[in-house]
Amino acid sequence: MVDVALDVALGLLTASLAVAFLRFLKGPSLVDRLLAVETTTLIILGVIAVVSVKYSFEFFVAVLIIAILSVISSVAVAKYLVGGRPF
Amino acid sequence: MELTEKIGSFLILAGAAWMFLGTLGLLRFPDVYTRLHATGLASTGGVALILSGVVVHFAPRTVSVSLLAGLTLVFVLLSYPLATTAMIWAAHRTGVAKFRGTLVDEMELYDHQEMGEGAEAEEAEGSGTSTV
Repeated sequence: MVDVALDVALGLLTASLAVAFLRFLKGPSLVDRLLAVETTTLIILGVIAVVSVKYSFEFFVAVLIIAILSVISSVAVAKYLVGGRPF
Repeated sequence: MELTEKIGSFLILAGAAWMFLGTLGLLRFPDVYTRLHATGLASTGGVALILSGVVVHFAPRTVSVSLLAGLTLVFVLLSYPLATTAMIWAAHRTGVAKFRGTLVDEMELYDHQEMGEGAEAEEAEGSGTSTV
């Protein structure tokens, strides 16, 4: 039962990855694409977490590093778009 | 051990479903601000549920992985709203088009106030030096 639940969770995460990529292709403005990229990093974070539960791999340092890099790059691109203070 | 595995897998499944709904909102909503609302709330909440499921799952066996997952959970909950807020400001200041049915734009009011004060301060500050 646990394995089935993890498989369904991986399938849902893969479907949402496809949906976020669709928004990345469609997005009218640059902020839409930036938002799609940030959502993609969130989904990849969730996929790594689920895979590390399913196969008892333990790479949680990678998850933490992906989260830090994603937030820093999002704030940096937002600051670049504004051209000054981001808040 | 069995019980924590069941609870953890249920939390992971709920988080994945939550995240899929949030990403569906990212595809279907009409406007960049509503999209930011959908994915900024729902995807962050889904990842938080998945990470708490990992915490519960690894808690009886390997405590170090569980602690690291908890640290990641706290970091995600603290910092992803920061990135979303920065993106909202970037969208509003670069003038991304709003949805036609928008009723109230409070950010515009705030932006006018703040930009007015900032412009006055800049003028008073740089009036002596900016003659070039």
